Amino acid sequence: MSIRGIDRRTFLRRTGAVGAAVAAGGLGTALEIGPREIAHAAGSTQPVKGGAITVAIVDQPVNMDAADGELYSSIEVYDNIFSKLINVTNDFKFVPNLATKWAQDDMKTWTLDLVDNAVFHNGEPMTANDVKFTFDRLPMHADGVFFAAWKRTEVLSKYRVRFHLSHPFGPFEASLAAFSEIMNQKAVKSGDPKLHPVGTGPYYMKQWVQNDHVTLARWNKYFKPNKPYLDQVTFRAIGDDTVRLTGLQTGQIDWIQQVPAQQSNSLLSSSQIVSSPGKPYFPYFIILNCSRPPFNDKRVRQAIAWCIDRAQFAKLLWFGTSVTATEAVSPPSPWYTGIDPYKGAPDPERAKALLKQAGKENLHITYLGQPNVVSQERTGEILKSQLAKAGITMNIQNYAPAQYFEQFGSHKYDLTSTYWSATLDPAHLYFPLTYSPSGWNFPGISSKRINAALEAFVYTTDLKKRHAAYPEVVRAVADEAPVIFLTNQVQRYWTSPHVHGSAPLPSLEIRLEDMWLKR
Amino acid sequence: MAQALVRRLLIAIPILFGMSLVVFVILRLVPGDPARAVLGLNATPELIAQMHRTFHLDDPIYVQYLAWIGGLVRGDFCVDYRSDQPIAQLLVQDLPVTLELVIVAMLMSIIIAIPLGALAAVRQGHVVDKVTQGLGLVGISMPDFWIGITLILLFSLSFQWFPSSGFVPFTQDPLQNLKDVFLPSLSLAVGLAAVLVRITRAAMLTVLEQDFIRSTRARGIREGSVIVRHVLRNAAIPIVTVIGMQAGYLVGGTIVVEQVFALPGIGNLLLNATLSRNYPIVQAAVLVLGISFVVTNLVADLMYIVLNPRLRTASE
Repeated sequence: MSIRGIDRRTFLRRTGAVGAAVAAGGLGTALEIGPREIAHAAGSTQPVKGGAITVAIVDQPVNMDAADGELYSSIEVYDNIFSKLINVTNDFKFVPNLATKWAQDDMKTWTLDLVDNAVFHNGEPMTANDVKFTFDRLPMHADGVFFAAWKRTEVLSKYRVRFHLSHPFGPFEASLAAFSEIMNQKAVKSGDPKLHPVGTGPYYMKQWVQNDHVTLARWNKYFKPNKPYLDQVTFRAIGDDTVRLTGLQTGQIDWIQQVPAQQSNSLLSSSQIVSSPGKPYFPYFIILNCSRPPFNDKRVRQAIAWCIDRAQFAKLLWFGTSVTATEAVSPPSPWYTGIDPYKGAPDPERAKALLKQAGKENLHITYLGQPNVVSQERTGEILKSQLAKAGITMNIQNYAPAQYFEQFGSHKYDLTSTYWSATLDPAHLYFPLTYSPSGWNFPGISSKRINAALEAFVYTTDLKKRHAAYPEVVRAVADEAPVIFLTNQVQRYWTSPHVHGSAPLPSLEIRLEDMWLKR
Repeated sequence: MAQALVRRLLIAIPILFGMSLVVFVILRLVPGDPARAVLGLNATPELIAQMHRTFHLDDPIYVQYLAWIGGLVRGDFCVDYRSDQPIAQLLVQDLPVTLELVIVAMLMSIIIAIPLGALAAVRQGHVVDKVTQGLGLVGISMPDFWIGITLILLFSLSFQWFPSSGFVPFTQDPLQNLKDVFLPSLSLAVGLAAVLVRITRAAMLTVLEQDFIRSTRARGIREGSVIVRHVLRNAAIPIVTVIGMQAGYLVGGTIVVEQVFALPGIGNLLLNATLSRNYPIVQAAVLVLGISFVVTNLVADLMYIVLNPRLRTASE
């Protein structure tokens, strides 16, 4: 089969994604690209203006305050209402957005020049004061954790700001590209930002009927000429995978992000719908509570790691829609190392030997889960059977969300599993989760080796030094095993054949300004 | 009649008060801090403390209850923990969806079940009776969510007759609104219809065996008239009783059905709020659903009086 003179095999060979997939080895069918998606990914049509689409996300958005980052469903919506200082492309390049250029004055100072034509949806022009206001309020909000080194913002002129950091901060650009939605002081003071988001983004919020839909309309004073293309976008939350897919297949919905995993591969050849390229940007992993027995002993944690059969998780948990993962990122991330100190796993005998050394031959542990989170529940079941081969008895204890987070947040658990939606820079996962002084150190790990590796990786802005330091982060975390990576779920967007320009980004934002409709 | 209505309404007051108390206390007996559930992984000690202060979560339970009840009396249902939106606004927006769903489902089940039940009774032991009873058994056995998904696959995906999700208000587009609620209502109606078929059949068989029916037939009155005017009317009281009681089942069923069809009703609101321990929404939604249950039973009580002249005399 060939598309525009390129046969499928040649195309696969040429694409970076698949090249990286080959390097990873064993990514299997999860990243395969179907012929219909090639045409869309390659931009086979010229963007046209106009039209309205309906987007179906999985959960209801709950809070439009961009500093709170509350639920991915909220972020999916408000990332199109707010603009960030810089953007990331799907090949991991940082490109100008509200900041036209940025430069590092020294290891702890960055200066950014801003566009002079951005206007907030309330009519206020965007200036350096808004950038300062946004960053001044961040430390009181959840997203502040991703700017841990930020000290103060200095307004140099109307369209120039300088960030002063407490120490060199390697992931600064990535943090700007992922979490720097600029808010307007007047709008925040005059209305509840959770309900009334006012940004400079390509769309303004026309209507939010809670529990039903959010309608975004094109912002005609958007600072990028000719964008966005679509006039209106309606977000609806449809929790059931089958219902969402049916909506797409029957033309009620134009864009969805998740189909029943079992059908994913067969849908790639569907004539009714089109898939974007699949990108593994959603790591899934086990978290072990290192602050109390039995997992305060590294050998016990390593024993668990030796029991893990990742391929089984990829197959039974995600039905082939994920790749196996031994670190926070997978190809095509430029940070991917492929390091795996547990090559040859599952090896129950090695696990047994480690348990014997630790004096924990008859290990009994409890897995913390939530009955309404299917992936967590299934992970527990698969893990239980894998650990049993090394003589480990694991009980699954399900809790309602409130209790779950209470047990988890106060370290009253043995092990659990979760996903992570911020991996543009691997520091976004490793640093909050495994750096011992971090407020998000849910594993309760205190490891000099991990801390040193992370400090070398994070507290420098020299990219070469960062790349040299990163493998030790992967090795240290794998060796200490406060978290054990299982899979990386492939993000794939499904659209009607009329919707173009939709592709997963490493920042996981749905960038509507790139999408257009051609019937 | 008016006296009976007032008496029933007065009885409803302690019922609703008790219900509010039970819901309030039970929610607080469930282990776990709602601030943690709402904040999730973002739950830092500072944010948890801030939320406790904002929503008075550290006050004694009776103080919280009195504050809530005091607010209700003033029409203030408190605000959503997550979005800060007034809950009264959410209820006003979502209640019509659920009410429409329940009313249409009830009408559907009555239209399906009563003729089928009557037919099964009249043709007792025949094939029609056996098929009807078999269908009733199947209807009772199938859960709402499964019926919903099956209807979506059949009528939305295969035939493309009805949408698989979404809701347009009746005032905005009546035809689209009816299309939107048809499948969800049918999902709910199947279970109730199955119960009603069996009740209608059993009640009619009891009446059919009575002497006055034999006398009516002996007077040469047409069989259709005997069935509709005499048998069905006398069998109506148990049927109305069951419809009243099953209203609660329908309201409960909306929680699942609204989730499946992504309808913006109270059931969907309640489910999401329960999962995140959003106390004020759960309390308000349960109270509203409780009121609708009480009102439905009140209507059923009044229907008895209309249907049974002896009760009318007694109430007077």
